[in-house]
Amino acid sequence: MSFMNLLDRIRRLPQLPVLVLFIVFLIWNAVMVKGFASPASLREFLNLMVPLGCLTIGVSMVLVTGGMDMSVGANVCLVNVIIITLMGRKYGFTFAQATCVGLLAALGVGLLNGIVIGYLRVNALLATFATQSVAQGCALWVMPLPGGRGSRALISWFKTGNLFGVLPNCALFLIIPLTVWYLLKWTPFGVWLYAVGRDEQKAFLSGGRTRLIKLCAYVFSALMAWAASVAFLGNIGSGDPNVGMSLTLSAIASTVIGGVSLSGGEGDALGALLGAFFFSLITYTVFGANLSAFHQDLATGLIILMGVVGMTLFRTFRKSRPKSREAAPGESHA
Amino acid sequence: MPDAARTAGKNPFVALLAEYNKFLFPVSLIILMFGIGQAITGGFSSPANINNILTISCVVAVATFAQSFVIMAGDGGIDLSVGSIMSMSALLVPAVTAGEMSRLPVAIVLVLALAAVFGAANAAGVLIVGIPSLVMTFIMASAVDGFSLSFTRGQPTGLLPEVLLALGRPAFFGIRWILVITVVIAVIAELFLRRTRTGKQIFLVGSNRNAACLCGIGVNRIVFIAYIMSACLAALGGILLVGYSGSSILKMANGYTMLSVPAAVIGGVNLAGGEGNMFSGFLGAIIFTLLSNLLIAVGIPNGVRILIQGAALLFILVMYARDAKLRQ
Repeated sequence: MSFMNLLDRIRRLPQLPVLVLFIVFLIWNAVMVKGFASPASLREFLNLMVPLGCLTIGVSMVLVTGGMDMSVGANVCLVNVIIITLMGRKYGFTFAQATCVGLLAALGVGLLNGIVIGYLRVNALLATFATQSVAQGCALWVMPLPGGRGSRALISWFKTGNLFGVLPNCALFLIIPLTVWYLLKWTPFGVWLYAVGRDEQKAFLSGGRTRLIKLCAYVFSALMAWAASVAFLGNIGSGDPNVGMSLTLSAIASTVIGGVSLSGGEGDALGALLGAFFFSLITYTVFGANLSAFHQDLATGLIILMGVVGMTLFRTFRKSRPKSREAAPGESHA
Repeated sequence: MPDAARTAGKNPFVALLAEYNKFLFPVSLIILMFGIGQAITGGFSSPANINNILTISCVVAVATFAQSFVIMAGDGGIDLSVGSIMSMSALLVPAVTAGEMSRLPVAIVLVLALAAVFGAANAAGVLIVGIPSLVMTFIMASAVDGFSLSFTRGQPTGLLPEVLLALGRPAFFGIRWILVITVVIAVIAELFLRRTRTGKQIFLVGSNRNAACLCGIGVNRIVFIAYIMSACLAALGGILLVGYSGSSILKMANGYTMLSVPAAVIGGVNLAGGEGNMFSGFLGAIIFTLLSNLLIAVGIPNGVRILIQGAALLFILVMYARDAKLRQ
């Protein structure tokens, strides 16, 4: 009986569909893509997906509150150019000092988001779209063209170093935020986070400080954008005012693939992170399929589309076999 | 809309004022910006320059119309594939026509049919599978971009027929054809929304899906129509863009996606659905084009220009588009 209970609990995990997708594509890549299953190649895969992973962990907290953060990619750019510019000859900051200034800038963007959305009650999609322009404008102002050089020590620490000889250093960028996320989830703050996402009005009437909770979620997301930017510097080590722009929507799509509902109150960071792993695996799958370069984008798009369709259908199917759950009128359109 | 409907029975003049109230904010903003422009650089508000700015805002306006349809159909609907479908149509039309006038109808029908398929796929994903609109249309956008790349093999080819190139030439009194056509599109779309049964049903479905369903409206059919209209309008926008600019490159119109959402909102489309009209969408598009032209005229660097645009949008949103208080 307890075994059946366990099975039932596993079946109800919101991360289950994306876990299945991830494992299927991992096996597919290991079998079909030559050289993928070697330690060096897996390490490189991990290195390259860390920035996206960081962003999804941050974005997932915002999505849990029922919000939206379109500014993360621009925030990555802003931090990137600030660090590289300050480390240049003109200012001569050390890497640590420059990173601290970058952290302040990222937190500034997060605070702006939180105040405008939480306290001034502007629609989250549009507000963060505006702050995206603000952050990207600042980034282009600071550094109009790509260039500069980052810290070599960081690159070797990030790309090849291991903690205690086993744990890749780059994984710290995922493990630490994930731990923080789960610690937060089991505090009253975490409970309120989900309450705000489920029904903001009820959370407010129950005495929740909904505005502050939202502000914190956006600041956390900005903090993760800063971490993603540092991870970028560990990978490429130079400045580019457009480096993170394409990551915004990838991060949101991965988070949703990972079982975080866009309407809030469902899913968590682990699922989002698995979504990011799936998103990154697809690139390898398509690359390994020996398609012509012109058809790769189409194939990637279609595979992600099928993944999302399959996952959503799976979730609907699972929800449609309830024990006792009356169907609300018109729910089929909701 | 409810305000206008409530006052309509009492006094036609009051009803007219209530209707104009929606245009008051965008129009005064536009006049203000022209005034600032004239003060900074003389000649900014000359008839020739006003005509130029209206011409440039046409493509943004058509993208805004496309976006408005999906937003108006409600349920948090948003179409992030507008820009990609515009790019696709801008790439396909020259490739299919190869400069020959006789092939133009075929090209237009082909592009519209493809767009309708993509729009229907969007709607199917949202309605039948239950994927959130934002995610579905974003993934569709990357699939459409992939399709364009694989179709053109990275090298846009082909020539445009004379008729399309004439879009950038004056029709009468110096007003260019592209502006005339955009106004015609706006009028037709507006008539469709206000005067046909399907058009009115889009508003009903947008304001309350359950109520619309209980009234016997085929909600799914209406939402399908909204997404298909959006994609087809986007395809038309792409044709206008390629005709006006004269050549096409990959992803040339993708930037219009995220421009169309705030333009629609400033123009008075309610993000929750069920409210909006085409002419205010046009005004929203003009505001954005005007702002970027104003900043170029002042001569500030690119980065600062984007920064100011973002800050201005944020300011407008805070002033104009705030949700209701939680404490009521």
